[in-house]
Amino acid sequence: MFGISASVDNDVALTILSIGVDTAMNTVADACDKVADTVTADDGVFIVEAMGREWGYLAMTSAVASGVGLVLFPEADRTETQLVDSVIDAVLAESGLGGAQKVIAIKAEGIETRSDRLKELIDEQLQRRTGRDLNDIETRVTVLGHVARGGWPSVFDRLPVSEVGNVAVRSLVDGAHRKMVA
Amino acid sequence: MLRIAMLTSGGGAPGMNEAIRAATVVALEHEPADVRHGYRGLIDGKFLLLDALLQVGGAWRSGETILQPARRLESYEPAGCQKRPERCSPAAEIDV
Repeated sequence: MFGISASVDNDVALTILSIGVDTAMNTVADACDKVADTVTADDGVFIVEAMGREWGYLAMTSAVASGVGLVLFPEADRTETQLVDSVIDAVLAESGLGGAQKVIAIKAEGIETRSDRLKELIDEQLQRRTGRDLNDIETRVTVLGHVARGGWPSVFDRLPVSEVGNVAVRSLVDGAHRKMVA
Repeated sequence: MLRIAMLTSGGGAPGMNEAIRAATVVALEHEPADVRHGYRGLIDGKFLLLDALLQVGGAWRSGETILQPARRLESYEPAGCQKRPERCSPAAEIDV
């Protein structure tokens, strides 16, 4: 048996970039860009949930790529209260600039608190700490889920992969066993 | 003759089909086959012979893998094998 690593979560040991990660990062970053386009009209907290299993890799790289300033990722090991506080602090910091109170955050799938529960907790604190009504400012959640696993692979995902498939079969023919190419 | 079978397991990732296509093209002289439904297909003996031109020609276009992966964990466990001993024979001859 000979393995090829492919995971949009980029969680395969001893590899730098798995097959599919580049396409998935582009999908998540694109979604964040589109959410950012829509938030210019409204105040509030916009949470985009990205896949990634126990890892925040996909969330973090997509955030850097699309200029999202707040990432909730499991590696930081924050408590539920700390997560909510980090979002509210970001909203309050925003209010210094022209009075607008809007924040986009990417939440990694690996965060244990479900997105709908997180929305409730944040909404509660938003009202309390901004003094504004929920009709005026609230949290909206976009869960991307399996969207990140589909789509046409980027050229960056296609090119090295054809080489990887080639090497895998040639190695098998040469007698390699229980190994992996990445 | 060496026979090479391919299976995909777990969640799909864009680009996996390109790996399958490339591997199939190189494996053509070794009678390439695919295993449907991941490791479960290995137990059930779901092997299909692959024709590179017909079946994997445009494979890179789709994100999910063309081999229909499965995530059922029971197929990884020895117990999964013991459940259907008569069907394990095709896989038993294979060096996994």
